[in-house]
Amino acid sequence: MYNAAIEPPPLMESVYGPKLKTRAMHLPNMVSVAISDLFPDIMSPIYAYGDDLSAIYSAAESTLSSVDMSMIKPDDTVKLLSSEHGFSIVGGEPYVKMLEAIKNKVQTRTGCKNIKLMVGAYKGFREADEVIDYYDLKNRFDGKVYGYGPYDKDIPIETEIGTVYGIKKVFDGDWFIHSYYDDPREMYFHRMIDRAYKSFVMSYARLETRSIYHMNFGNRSSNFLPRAIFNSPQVQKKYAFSCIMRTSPMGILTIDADRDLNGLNNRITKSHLKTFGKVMRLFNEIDNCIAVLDGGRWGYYIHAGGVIFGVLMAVRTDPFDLSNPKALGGFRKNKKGELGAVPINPAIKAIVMNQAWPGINYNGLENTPIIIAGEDHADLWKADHCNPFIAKAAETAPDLETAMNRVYEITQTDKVIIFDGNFGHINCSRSMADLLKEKAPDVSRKVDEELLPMWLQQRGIDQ
Amino acid sequence: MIQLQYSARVEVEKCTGCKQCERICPSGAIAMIDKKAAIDDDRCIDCQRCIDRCNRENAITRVLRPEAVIRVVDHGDLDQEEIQRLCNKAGVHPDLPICGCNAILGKEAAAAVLKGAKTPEDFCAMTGARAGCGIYCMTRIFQYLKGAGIDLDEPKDRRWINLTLSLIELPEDIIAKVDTAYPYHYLAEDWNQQVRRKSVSPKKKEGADV
Repeated sequence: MYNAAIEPPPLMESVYGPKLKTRAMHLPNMVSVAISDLFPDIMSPIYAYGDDLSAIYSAAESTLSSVDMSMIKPDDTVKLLSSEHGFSIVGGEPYVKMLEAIKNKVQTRTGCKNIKLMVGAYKGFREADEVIDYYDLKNRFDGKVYGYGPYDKDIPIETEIGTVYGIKKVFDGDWFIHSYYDDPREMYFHRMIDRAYKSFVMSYARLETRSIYHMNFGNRSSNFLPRAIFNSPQVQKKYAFSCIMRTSPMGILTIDADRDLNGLNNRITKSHLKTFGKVMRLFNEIDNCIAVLDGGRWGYYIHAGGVIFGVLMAVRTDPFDLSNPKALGGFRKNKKGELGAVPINPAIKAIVMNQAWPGINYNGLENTPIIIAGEDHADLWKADHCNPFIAKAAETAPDLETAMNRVYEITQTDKVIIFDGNFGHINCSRSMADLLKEKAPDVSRKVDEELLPMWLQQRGIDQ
Repeated sequence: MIQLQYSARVEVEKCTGCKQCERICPSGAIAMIDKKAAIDDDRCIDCQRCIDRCNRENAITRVLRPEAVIRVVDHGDLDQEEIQRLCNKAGVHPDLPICGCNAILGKEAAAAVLKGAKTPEDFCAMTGARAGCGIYCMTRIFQYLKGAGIDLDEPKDRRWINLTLSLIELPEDIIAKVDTAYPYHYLAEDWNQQVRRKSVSPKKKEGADV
């Protein structure tokens, strides 16, 4: 027996996305499978859904009580650095609640009133404004709220491997607080190395620095770049402490604050390998499916059971195994000798986009049928030069129901998995729920007994 | 290669002449004429960044072109060895895209530079690079221009910064030092692999995963 599909976190309307639509959970015969039923050993979260965010605030207050804030003086300016994806995790309110708790605790403990919330964007100039309005941040942060993004004025940062460029207004206060999340996104790409540092090379960095991070290093070695930026004397001089919203596939695990970012990073890595590692390996057991994207912000990053769609696309190898230098697709020659992108996970028989923002490239989709629900939604994708292939190849359906009927016909599978932003459970079809439940015990045993010891040992955190 | 069905259009009465769109345009398609922004359709690559940037006045919109335009730089009429040499200098395989968004292959990128691109703006206007995310191909553009021996004067308004720092160019002693301190980033192994790959002839390099 399964529960009915569960209402996912609410969505923010945006100029970057389609008009909000009925959620995919309302499709006929969808159920919900709880992560706790699949993996009972994953610790219960302090928050997964609902209006009561008091546990987030209490956890933040508690952990911040023991952090050294003595460097902050009453007349100082403190930049509270937030990053874009935090507003995507379980609807974004938990992240905002953590940010509020940090502001209040710093004010109480140090007497400092000049705390400026910096709202980071991926690339759009309206992203931060929308987030500020939607979460009423001006009121909640005493009017001291400012957007920032990759095109803002730069500041050179001298690292031990060379000069890179950060965002000046991020680092121009007396102090900054790294107010982050544990970045449960492209687990295949970043190889679960240094998740706690990533925003130093993305949110807090100019576009050119983001470019070299993605293009000019290996997918293991690139993770040194954010650490090198963090370690630079310039950044260290302004660094107060870190406060991180930690997640597991179940939801928000806790709030963890520390001046020692390396220690915090190790705690995150251990937890992620054990928890996200299990759901990720479970996704590898899916033999065929229809993936439905139904969330706010970029489709690639929408969660199901805490794991993003991009992970399902790339899950065929074990990206946590660091002995493999190259764990994501890339390019290879086909039988005709032509170079092309390595296709995505062949278990994905079709993708239905109910609602998702374009603007991030998806590689390797050439063999995967894509149906976009809604003309307005399709128009956005057709205007998207990140994905010229989708514009050309995707079919448009007037609504989700028609899109689903079409993919059932094409794929001849009834296994549906919905990426709708949920943590704690996966909305899916009954046949998919049956498959996940059947495979989970073996996956759990394999991770605990074989993979996890290797993953931890490869990162030097097995003791 | 990029197919363009749309172009940007300025509603002159709304334009305040703030120059923000000019600074953000990756292809140098916007100039200020009589203190108003003006779009050069021959350079516009429909990246929509100016529309996004103009978030107070909303003075720029997206309009259908009279006819769809394909912006592509033909490499077939050039010396293929010269293309290969420039790709080698840029560190990019000629048959691979220079980034994920557009299907601009390394050889097309080389052809753009060999056919006259002298700045990142020229490169984008000719090839359509940066019409997608606008971010990740940035260093590739600098690598091609640098490979052709073009010295770039960075603009005073810092609309771009010429950054090409890469793993393969790091000195061996730095690699060894970092690798000792942070073995779990595999800098030395990745570095060795890239150095080895670069030393293999282009013909042998083709095939398998690249």
